[in-house]
Amino acid sequence: MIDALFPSYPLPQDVVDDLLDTIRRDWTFWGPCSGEDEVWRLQPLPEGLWPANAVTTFLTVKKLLLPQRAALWSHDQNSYRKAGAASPVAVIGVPLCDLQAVWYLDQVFAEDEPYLDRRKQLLLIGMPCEPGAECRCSRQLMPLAGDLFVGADRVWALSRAGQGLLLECACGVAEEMPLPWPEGPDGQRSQISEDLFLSSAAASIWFDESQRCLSCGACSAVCPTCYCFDLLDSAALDGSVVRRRAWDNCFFAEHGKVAGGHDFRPGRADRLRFRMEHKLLGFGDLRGQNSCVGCGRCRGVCPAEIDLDRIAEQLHLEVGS
Amino acid sequence: MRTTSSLKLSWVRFTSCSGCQLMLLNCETSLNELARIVELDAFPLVSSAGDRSEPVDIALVEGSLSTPEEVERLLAIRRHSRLLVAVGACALNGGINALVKGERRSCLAGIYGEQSAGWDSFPPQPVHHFVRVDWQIPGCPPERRELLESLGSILHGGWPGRQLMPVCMECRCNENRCLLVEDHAPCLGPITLAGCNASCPARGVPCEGCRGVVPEANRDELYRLLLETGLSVQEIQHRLERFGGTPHGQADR
Repeated sequence: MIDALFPSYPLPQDVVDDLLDTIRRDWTFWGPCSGEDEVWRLQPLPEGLWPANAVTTFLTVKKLLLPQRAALWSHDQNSYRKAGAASPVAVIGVPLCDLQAVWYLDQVFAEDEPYLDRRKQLLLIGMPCEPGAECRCSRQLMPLAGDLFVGADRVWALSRAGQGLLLECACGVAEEMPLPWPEGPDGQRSQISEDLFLSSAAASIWFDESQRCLSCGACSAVCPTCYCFDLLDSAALDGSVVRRRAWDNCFFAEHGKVAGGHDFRPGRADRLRFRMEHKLLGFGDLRGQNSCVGCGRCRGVCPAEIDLDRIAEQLHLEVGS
Repeated sequence: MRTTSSLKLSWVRFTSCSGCQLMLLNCETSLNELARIVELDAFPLVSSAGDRSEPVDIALVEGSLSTPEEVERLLAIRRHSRLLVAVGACALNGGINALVKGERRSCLAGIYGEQSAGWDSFPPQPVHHFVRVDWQIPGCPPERRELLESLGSILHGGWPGRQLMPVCMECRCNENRCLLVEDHAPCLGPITLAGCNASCPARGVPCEGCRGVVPEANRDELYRLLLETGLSVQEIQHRLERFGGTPHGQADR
């Protein structure tokens, strides 16, 4: 993955405008916007206001693919209705780590119809970023999803749709080139092995850190690759029923509870360890795939300053041979 | 229009401000539908008739209890009701009423004077201290959406889906600026039960915990964080107790 090459084209300013105009014909532009409260959010962009760089927004494009709380279907009298289709959105200014996260979600939700319906409507446009103090991204971690990557004077086609747009705008002759990943944090990411993790059940680090964990769920809400959800049914007074899908969280007391009263993760330490396992080792077909893209969001939002990297380091010290 | 199959519903009020009833009455566009599917046995804010002590399908109970007579009445209501739903902070955990502190008799004398000497009363208690509660609708006041979804689901034979999660989660989902982390404001969002769509923090007001605490709340850590906001120990205790929270040191892990 380290040397993945993509068709790259020179990008003079007039072609940028042409490209953006072409995209605007079919897609609504979303991108990072900062409010008066200094929080960066992905939002519909005012016309002509393009981001200069990618931004680590509060929530990632995850919120467009797997909305925080959205109806899946409703039932009224005798009719059953699927939730309305998503409209086409082009998200511009996405950092490379967030594009990796979309690749990961694509694997997890490969057969999930509501996800795929939304995914099809999304055009993802990456841009270069300024790595911050919290950043630990790595080009070697996993492939990335996306359609275009717009650099300072070159543009890369990441998908067939992206390639089609560039051909439409006559961007010149393509060269196969690697993406300009930010320099700096690469390779400093925490990793744990299956063996280390399995022998860590009694490690004191889980207990120590979980003493401070508030179980507020902020870390996994902002995580670009956390995808736990719950299904919630409710009826209105007139008897119509709606089934919603809403973000869930492995830190919540009910997350590991099952019918019959058993709780797979009865304490906060168990839940912290579970989240670590999910992030660094993965489950199912993705076992062995580290899904922490290193964006640093969880560290930034945790009121108790809990840090997965620090826990991983401690695990190596406490359990590693 | 009432049908033979309509369900009987009774709203019962103990010590409260009636704000919970008002929230349901504020659902103007849904009241016709409600009147179509239920027969009201009692609803104090709508009519002074009522509380006929007849069997009902659903009793919605608002307010806290502080006299033996109130307990008698609650027990009778429980016997006559197929389902009993506690509504609002007072019914769920005593609410603002439970803030009254000190020796009971002198408290009463301070407010009602000498006439209170023979009164039999005890500190305000939530409904679940006396009877089985089938469903709870938290909040001070409860959310309209939750009232309607709860009533809708219960009236049609089920419980509404809900998540026992903290306000923090809703607040993050809505991408609000974190008042606790960014502004060091004494926000109770990390341990307060969500369902309000984090409406106070969304407006820059730190959560006061009106919906009660989440299961397994980590009060110890929040206490530490609140100390860092500059509040005194006493201020923190008052804040955590405002809506019936247990004081620091009695965390239920």
